[in-house]
Amino acid sequence: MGRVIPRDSLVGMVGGPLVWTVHFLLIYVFTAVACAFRFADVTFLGTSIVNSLMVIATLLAVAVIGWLGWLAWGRYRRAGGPERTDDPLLSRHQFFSLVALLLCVLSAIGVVYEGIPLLMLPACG
Amino acid sequence: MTALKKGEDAPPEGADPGLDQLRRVWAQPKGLSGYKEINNTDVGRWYIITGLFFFVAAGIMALMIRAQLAVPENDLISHELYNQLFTMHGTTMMFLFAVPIMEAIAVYVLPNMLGARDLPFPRLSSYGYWAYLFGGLMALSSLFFGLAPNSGWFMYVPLSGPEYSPGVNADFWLLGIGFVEVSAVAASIEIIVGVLKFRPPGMSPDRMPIYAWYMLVFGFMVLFGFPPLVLGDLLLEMERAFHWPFFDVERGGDPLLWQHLFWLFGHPEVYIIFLPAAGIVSTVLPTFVQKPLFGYSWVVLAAVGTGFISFGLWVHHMYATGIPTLSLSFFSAASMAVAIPSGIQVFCWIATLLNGRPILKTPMLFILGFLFIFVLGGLTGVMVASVPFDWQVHDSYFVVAHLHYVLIGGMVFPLFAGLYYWMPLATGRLMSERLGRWAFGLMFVGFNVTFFPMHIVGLMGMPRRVYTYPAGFGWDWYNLTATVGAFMLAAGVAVVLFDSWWHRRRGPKAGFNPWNAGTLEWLTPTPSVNYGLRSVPVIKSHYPLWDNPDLVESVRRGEWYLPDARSGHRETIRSSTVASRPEQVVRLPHPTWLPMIAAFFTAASFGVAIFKLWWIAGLLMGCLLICSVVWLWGTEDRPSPNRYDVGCGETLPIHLNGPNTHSFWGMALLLIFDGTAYLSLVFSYFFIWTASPEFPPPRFEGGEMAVAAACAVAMLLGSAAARLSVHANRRGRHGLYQLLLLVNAASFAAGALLMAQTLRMAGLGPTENAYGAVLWMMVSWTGFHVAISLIMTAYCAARGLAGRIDAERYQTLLNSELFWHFTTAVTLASLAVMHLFPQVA
Repeated sequence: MGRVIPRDSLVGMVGGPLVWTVHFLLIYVFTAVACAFRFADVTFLGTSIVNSLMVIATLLAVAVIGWLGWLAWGRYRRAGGPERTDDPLLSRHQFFSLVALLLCVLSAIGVVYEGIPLLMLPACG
Repeated sequence: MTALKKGEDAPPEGADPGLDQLRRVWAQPKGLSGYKEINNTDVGRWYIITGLFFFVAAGIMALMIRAQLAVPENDLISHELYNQLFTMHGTTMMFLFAVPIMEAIAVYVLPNMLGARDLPFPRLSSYGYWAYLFGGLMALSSLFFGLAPNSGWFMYVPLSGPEYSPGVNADFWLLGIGFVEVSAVAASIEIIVGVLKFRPPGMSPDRMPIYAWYMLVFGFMVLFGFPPLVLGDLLLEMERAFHWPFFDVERGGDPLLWQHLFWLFGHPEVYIIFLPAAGIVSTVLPTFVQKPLFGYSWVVLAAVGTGFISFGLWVHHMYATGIPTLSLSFFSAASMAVAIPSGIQVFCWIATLLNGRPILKTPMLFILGFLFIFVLGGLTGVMVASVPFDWQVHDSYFVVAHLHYVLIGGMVFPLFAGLYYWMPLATGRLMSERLGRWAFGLMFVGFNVTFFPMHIVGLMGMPRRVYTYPAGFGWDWYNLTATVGAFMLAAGVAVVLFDSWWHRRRGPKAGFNPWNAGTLEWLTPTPSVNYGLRSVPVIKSHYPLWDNPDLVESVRRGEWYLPDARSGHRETIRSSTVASRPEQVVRLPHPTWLPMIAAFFTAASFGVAIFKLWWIAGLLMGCLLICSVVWLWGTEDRPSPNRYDVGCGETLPIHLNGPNTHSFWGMALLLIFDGTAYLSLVFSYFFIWTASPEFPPPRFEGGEMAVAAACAVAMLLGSAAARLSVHANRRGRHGLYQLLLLVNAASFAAGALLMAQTLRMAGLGPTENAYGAVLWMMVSWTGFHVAISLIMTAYCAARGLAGRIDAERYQTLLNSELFWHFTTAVTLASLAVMHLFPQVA
């Protein structure tokens, strides 16, 4: 599983925030388009389609971040977890995987925050 | 131990041949030629001094503003001058002080911290400096002619548009500032490549000084944050000069587009200023506790996390513009989320403090002052991040108080801590502790006396940006108090400035590592030297000076990498990005006037453009072009044999081709900037599409589709020819190489003409409506890139003929190729937006 994201890459480290960015842009643009072209009022089984779609996108984003975080957690444990080490390679793995993991946690919180208003407010107005 | 101790000087001339070579090669030219110097130590010093000059200038404007507001119905300053003053105060502080001085400090200390002899592109940082100086002076001078910008530092349209600001005032802002942005981008590329590639052996990212992490994030934020404003500037200037209606409602434009573009830049900007300051705090604090920074990984998380989330906040400046509540909530949520990494950071600092016994020297006082003020500013920040609260205080003095708590607390106090901290590197002497305490006391008390009352007067309803106010609202005493505080704050700054001049002769000698710091920049004698370290050691921890006491000695004896300069060239080591293994000895340029001359032509062409003298501006741009060719011609020096003994039993190549080289990274980063600006243009198209649905995007129903397809084919052909030319060159087939370059040039030129033709066939002009303007902007974008591509093609052809591009050295060609493919990609994207999207919509 560790092969999914190559070890110790700076881009791999910011996987979580990248998902946050994509999700943020997606819901922002989708709301703007839905309001401009007035299809925000469409409902299905009493709930707004637009809001529901965005809630699904939010859950998806959290899932992807969770998966990335889980991978990072695995790499962190395999590099010896929180134990201090003098081996430069191991300590580098620990650092990269720990920061990746922490960034995933932060991004997940960020995405969940974005999801809260979706449950309370109509898309437009 | 023979290492230098306090008060000792470096060894004399002749004692150590390797050291003498380094001194000779890195010596600043004498006399007036000293200004040819491009080394980071000299350029960094000028940069910082210039930054402080603009700080003082903007501070004087602030004092004039406060003097006018001291009493109700004051007539000290006319409302027109007042408008110019508050506009220029904000503009100067943000664009000419805060961002540049943070770059300046990085240019000055970063290479030393990273054990590099210089940054990767010394001429570029020198160009950036001179561009900033000339552009800044140009923008500032407008005040003396009554021509200064007067529509606020965020220049909202329609107030700043052609109808309500017909004079050249707004143009001074758009062109003057537009061009200071050029220097910011230059510095950010320099810093990113410097941090990623110019590190000493063994310093993998987990061992970098924490400041380097902050500056890396800063660099990327500039690359993504500045382009929307550069594009906004361009659009507004096109509207002002040529009536292209991007923001004109009657023709399908929208003033809100400007606000989006401005704040897409403007909010990240706050963090672009704050992160380097936080980097200074995270560097200075451990030294004055004599303990490592608590939670290194967590602080990196905070820096990187803030870097991302701060791009999701821009609309919180636009809560009062009538955007749907749900959209506002997204930005409110992100504004709350960004408080998390900031909070983590603050707790790491507090934990560091608790971990040791703080030494209350002046830099530490400023850090403590920072913590207090910044936390308060952060708390009011969370308050205004909430939509209903913001609606109450929007455009009131509460916001003025909040932003000054964040910016002065979050940026000026750490900056002053940094000035006191690193001053011994520049002057070799310590600044006065006694004056430092006075300065800190005056600044801290003065600051709070000035800005705390503004919270209250803001809640009482005093609007911002008014040149006077009537008596009897209960605002009078608060304003008078604020004015008194402002002069106290200014007195504190004056004490610092006085001592930074006075201590150069009178202060006690600093000697070696006066604060007993742990990072590499203190491994040089004080005052620091242009070549940085005597030899470049292998790094094994965050605080090499603390963890390895023998390091000082062995570095001084030249036992590590690059212990001399026997080649007669300035050189430094380039390492791999993650593992930090040495890969190349980079030969750096020597002092030259070129960057200054190039910056002069840049400034002059922007300057005459303000007065719409387009032909002269074009001519000056031509001169700039000649400068760049002369500048670049001597690059890619490939000596034979292409190996160099760097010491420690290793030899490294001097010249390399390929995507790992620093020049390729420089080009790639520039294209990220360019691409982000282009995406902002695409955003503008879609924004107009959603903002005014009654204006549908134009559909092309004639034969335009066929022409567009031909354009796409031409561009792809050009790119293919470029790819093949690289192969031909590598096989040594010079004739074929030249032929393929010709095909590349011809196809690109044809592509640009065909693209313009599609709009002309439809009879769509740029001034008709907002779509016409955006689409013609896309054509201009391609036109501009094709023009640059053609110049590059001619340049590569000439280098081929001169034997400077051949089978062994072709990095110039690879860099150009990247640009050519980028041009094709941009054109194809524009064609899709123009012709395919309206079919779908």
